[in-house]
Parts: sequence; structure tokens; C-alpha cells
Amino acid sequence: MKERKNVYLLPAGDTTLAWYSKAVVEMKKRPTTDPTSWNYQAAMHGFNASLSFWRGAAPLPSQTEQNQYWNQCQHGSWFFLPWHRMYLAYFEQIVAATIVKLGGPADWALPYWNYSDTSNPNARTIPPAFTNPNNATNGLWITGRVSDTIPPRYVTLGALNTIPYTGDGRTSPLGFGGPETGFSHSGGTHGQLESLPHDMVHVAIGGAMGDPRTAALDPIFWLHHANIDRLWQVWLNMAGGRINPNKSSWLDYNFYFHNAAGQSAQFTSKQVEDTRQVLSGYTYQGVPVGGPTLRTANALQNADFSTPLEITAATNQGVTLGSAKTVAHLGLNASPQKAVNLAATTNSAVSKPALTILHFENVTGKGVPPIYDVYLNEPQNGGDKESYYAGSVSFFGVEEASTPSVHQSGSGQHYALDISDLVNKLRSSPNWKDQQLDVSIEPSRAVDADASVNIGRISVYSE
Amino acid sequence: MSADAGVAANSNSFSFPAEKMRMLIIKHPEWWAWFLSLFAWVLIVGNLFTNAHQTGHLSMITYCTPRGIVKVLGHSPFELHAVWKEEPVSSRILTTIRTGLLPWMIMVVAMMFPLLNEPIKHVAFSVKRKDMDLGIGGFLIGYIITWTAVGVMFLLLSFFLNLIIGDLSHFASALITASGFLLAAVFIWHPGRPIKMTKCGQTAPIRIQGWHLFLDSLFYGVKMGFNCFNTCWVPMAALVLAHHNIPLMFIVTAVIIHDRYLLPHTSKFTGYAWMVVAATLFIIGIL
Repeated sequence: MKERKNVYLLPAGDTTLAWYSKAVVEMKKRPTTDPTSWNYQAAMHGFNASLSFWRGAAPLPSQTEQNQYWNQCQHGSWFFLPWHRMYLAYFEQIVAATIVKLGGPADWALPYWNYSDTSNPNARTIPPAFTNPNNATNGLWITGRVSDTIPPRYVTLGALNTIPYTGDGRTSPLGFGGPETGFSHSGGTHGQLESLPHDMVHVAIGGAMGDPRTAALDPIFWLHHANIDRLWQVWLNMAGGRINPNKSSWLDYNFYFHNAAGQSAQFTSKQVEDTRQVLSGYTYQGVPVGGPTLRTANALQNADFSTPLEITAATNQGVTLGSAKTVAHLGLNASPQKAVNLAATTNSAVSKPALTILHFENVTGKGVPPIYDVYLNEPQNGGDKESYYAGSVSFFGVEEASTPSVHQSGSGQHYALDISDLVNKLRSSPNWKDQQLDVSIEPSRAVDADASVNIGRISVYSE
Repeated sequence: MSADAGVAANSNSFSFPAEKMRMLIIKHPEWWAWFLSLFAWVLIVGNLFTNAHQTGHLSMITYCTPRGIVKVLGHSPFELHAVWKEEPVSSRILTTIRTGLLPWMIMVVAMMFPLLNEPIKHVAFSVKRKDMDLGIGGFLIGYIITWTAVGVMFLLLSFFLNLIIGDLSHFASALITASGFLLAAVFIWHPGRPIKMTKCGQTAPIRIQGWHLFLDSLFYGVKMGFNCFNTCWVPMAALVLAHHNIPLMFIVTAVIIHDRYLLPHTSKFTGYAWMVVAATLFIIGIL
């Protein structure tokens, strides 16, 4: 059984990354029509011939083959974690077979990049082998990355505290793994782990990584996703009610891939729950693997009968984000009888802050927008704005989600932030008004000229 | 156990099922659409039994006349034919629309409303709980508006086809209907079809303030009606050609529900189902 190791803990003289680099170079030589080629593997995640990163990729497979195998990545869905696990497993098998053909070791395993490791001051920086030398002689380098280092707030692991796997923040609390969906190339509310750190790392690095249609062309993509895959196991190991879905629609849904021989292969979520059972099996360095936590019928039953959240406020028009800070005022009714207000965000009966979720709905846009930081009721006269920080949203894949295609409806993306603690804290402020919430949205870096974001509605849901 | 604790336990055991039922209704607002669909089916089947007994036909209206008493459902086109031909064309058009639209809308409610689980949930959970019914109502009205326009178009098309082609033999009629389902099968293989299918999952921002809520829900309903028309118009048109044959309606409903909820949108299974329907109609026509 293979062990996927922390890339920053590889011992001196270790050849894992050197062989990875050679394999990438070798896979790039293969034609795009070859399922074991670098381009084909990346296109399975996402592809768009009009993007510059795909220049020179032709000739391409038939449209029928593209429809079945390309643009398959699952986002905004409870399939986000299992699909990427399957994807990584076959990719690792293909790279390992390539390394053997090149005369390398038989036990090559994909390393993971633990950017959240606070004990390592370099953890948030892309491992040097991927950036040096910064030219085409380096198989692990790719042009166009915007940043090599991720700011600390974009790699925090609050997602691990989320107990339910499934949830959309509207009909149920937010879920660790994403909302219940069918095939979802880019659709529902992004799950907690998907939003942070997954989306943030993609957009913070930028370039190819910033767009799902090109992300897997960057060799660091695979180490990033190995880490996300590891965090799924870390979450399960934390127990306390953390269990995978037990619905057949999750367990038995089939996805299609290619194995190292280039033959069609398939996986269901059920087949990849235990990493030791995935292909030849693997574990993560420092992460024990038990069997998947037993699911109980009660857990599902209780979730089904829990009270859905209810909307308490919403903007009454779309919000366009630009290069400057945008402030959205959540619209309120004129009629006092019908007033929408935030009083409901206090659950006095149990004397605890009610669960309060801030939603960004029907987000459409173009290009690769930067990460936007979100503040609530930020004072206009300056001061310590961090006290008003609600979270960040990255809009990873917004352009693709805005265009109707075989794989998505074109209604845009949905993001949600848990603002329960912040609202509770703000309530004690003398300036707090139950019928007013100002949401400030600020870009974390300069906005590209060809990037734009339009939010269909910003809303607040509460218990 | 103390007496108080016992009372509390009993109280819980009585209230829990009611609370569960309340939560189920809140979490599944689509019950609205399924209930209306069921009601439409009851109307259809109720009339089916009444009229089949009198006419021996399992069909909804296709032709009728302003003169005399006309049964809306299940009458034979042939027995009304002689009276019908005496009317001027303009009168026949008006009568066709006036008397054909209600059965058409009942058919739409019966067949299409069960496909609306996701858009109804979207509307219901986008608004305050107290406004849920208003939002869903607006959405369904918008949806019906689109299909009403489609119904008028289909009825006119059906009328003029009849005017041009005249009376058809049983075989020719079956052949045309079978061709309609064959066209529906071909449409499944059309490269643009999966994109149309993904549009059935579109959502839209709904404002929660006052009349905006109703209008946004209404426009969303109109839009989703158009999206549904885009994916389902061929089998629906085939049903019109089949004079709304009721057993066929039931089969078509089962096929489109299966297609919507249980198949990936790239699946061709439904195409084969339409082929089987076409072949069956063709064989029935020969016999």
C-alpha cells in the first residue's frame, strides 16, 4: 500500500518530485487524444479550447468522447470529494506507470501540499521544485501563476468543525462536503471544505489554477487536491457525528475515467470511501485510517426532520463587484407588518447565537476574478476592520458556471459564509440595528481588466 | 421516573409525529405540484370512465361544436364531425381554442407539474416561510402562462392540419402520431438536447420584498415553462396528434418523469422509449 507524503517532509535526496517532473514532461509529449496524456487528464477536470492555456492541444478526441470524459469535475456538490478522489487515484496510477516506463521506482505516490501547517513557516508557499527554475525546462513549472504564497486567512481549517457532510445553508446547515445534487460540474452551494481552503488556494495561485477549465494543467493542482483528499480523512477521523452520506444517490453514482492502460474505467463513491480500497490502496502520512465511520439510520432521519433555515433579509437587486469596495444594503420592507429583519438571528430560547448564513446567489461573471473579502457593518470611519471580517469568497469557475452547456445550467454559482459568531458579536455593539445589514465586499488584489462578477442576490438565512 | 417526567415523555411521543409531518411539508414544498397533478389525473380518469362508457373512446377533446351539448373529455371526433363541418372557419377556430384549452391545461398540470420539484424548492426556500405559497403560486401561474400560449399554438396547428388534410383513416392517423414519437426519439440524439436539459435546472434570484416576490416568481415560472417546452414539446405535440389518448398520456408522463429524475441528461434511454411507443402505435394502426 502506498503512502502519500507531505511534500515539505520529503527527506533530502528524495526523488519523488524529480520523477514527477520527468513524468509530466513525458505525458505532455503524448497527443491529447491519448487518455494518459497530460492534456487529456487535465481536460477531464475542465477544458475550453478558447483559453490560451489550451493553445496547441489539437487534435482533440471526438465530441462524443469529450462529452463523456471531459469537463467532469464536480463542484458545488456532495460529489466534490469522491469525484476528486477517483480522479487523483487514476492520475496517480498513470503517473506511476509512466515513471516505471522511464526507469523509475515502482512505488511512486503523489505527495500532498499541506499549506495549513502552522508549524512550517514555508508551508503556504508553493514548494520550490514547482517554481525553480521558472522556465519550460522544469516540468513542474507553468507560466501565469499570480502568486506563489497563499495569505494565511485563505488556508484556515474551520471547515473541519462542520459536522454534517451534506447541507446547503438554506434547507439545512452548511455541509462539510457540499449540498445534495445530481451531476454538478458547477452548480450548488460550495461545501465548507470546497470553499475554504480549496477554492481560495486555486484563486490565490491564479493563472491556470484560477479556472477549473485549466487548473489541472498546473502540476501543483494534484498536490493541492491530495491535501483536500487528506482533509476528508482527517475530518472523518475527528468523529463526533462526522459521517459520509448514506443515500444510494451518493453511494452508487458512477463516474468515468481512464486507467493507466488508457482503458475506460469507472468508480462509485462507495468504492472510494476507504482509501486503502482505492485501486492498490493508499494512506496519508500522519493520518490513521479506520474504516468509514458507521452510518446510522437515525442520523439521516434526524437531518430530514430538522428545521430548515429561513431567509431573514436579502438585497432587492443584483450587486456588481468591481476593483473598489462594494457595499450592499440588504433590502427591507416598508410595511412594518411584513418587515424583514435580523431580529430572528437571536435564538433567545436556548441563549445561544442562532445559526446565521450569508449567501451569495446566482453569481455570474467573466475571467478569473480575485478573492473578495467580506465585512459586515464595517464602519465608514476606518478603525479595526478585521473585527468585522465575515469571510472570503473566491468565485472559482464563475465564467464557466455563467454559461449554459452540456454540464451546467448557466445560472451561476452559490457561496455561503457562516456569520453566526460575527452577527452575535456585532449585536452587542451600540450601532447594531435589527433591520439593517451592510455587506462590504472588497477585492484582495487588483482585478484583471477582463474579469467581472455579478451577484444575483445576497441574502441572510437564520435558524 | 417521576410523574412529571412521565407526562413529558408522553407529550413528546404525541407531538413528535405531528412535528415530523410539519417539517416534511416545509422541507418538501413540491407537494403542491404533485397534489395538483394528482387532482388533474383524477379529473381525467373520472371523465375517462364516464365517457368511455358512452363512446368507447379513451380520449380527451379534439373536435367540438358550439351547437348542442359537447362533452369535454372522451368523446369521439367522428360522431361530431357532420355538425362540425357546417360551422364557419372563424367560429371553428374560436371553438377549438375555447373548448380545447381547458383539457390542454389539465393535461399540462397532470403531466408537467411533477417535473417541477427543483424550481418549486428554489422559489419556496428563496422567500420567507409565510410567503412560500405566494411564491409557489406565482411560479405555477407563470409556468401555466407559457404552456397556455403553447396550447393555443398546438390547437391552431392541429385545427389547420385537419382543415388541410381533411379526415384521415385510422391507419393514417396512427402513422402520423407514430411519426411524432419517432421525431421525439430523434430529438433525444440532437446535440443541443443535453444543453436544453441542463436549463431545466436553472435558478433565478427572487426578491423577497412585497409584490416583487410575486412578479419574480411569476417570471421565473414563465422562463421555466419555456425551458420545459424546449425539452418536451415534441412528445407533447405527438400527444395532441394522438387526440390526447389517455393511456398514452400516462405512459408519456412516466417516461418524462423517469427522464428528468433518474437519468443523466446525456442518456439516450428516453429515445429508445419513444421508439417503442412509435412502433407500438404503428402496429396498432396496422391492426
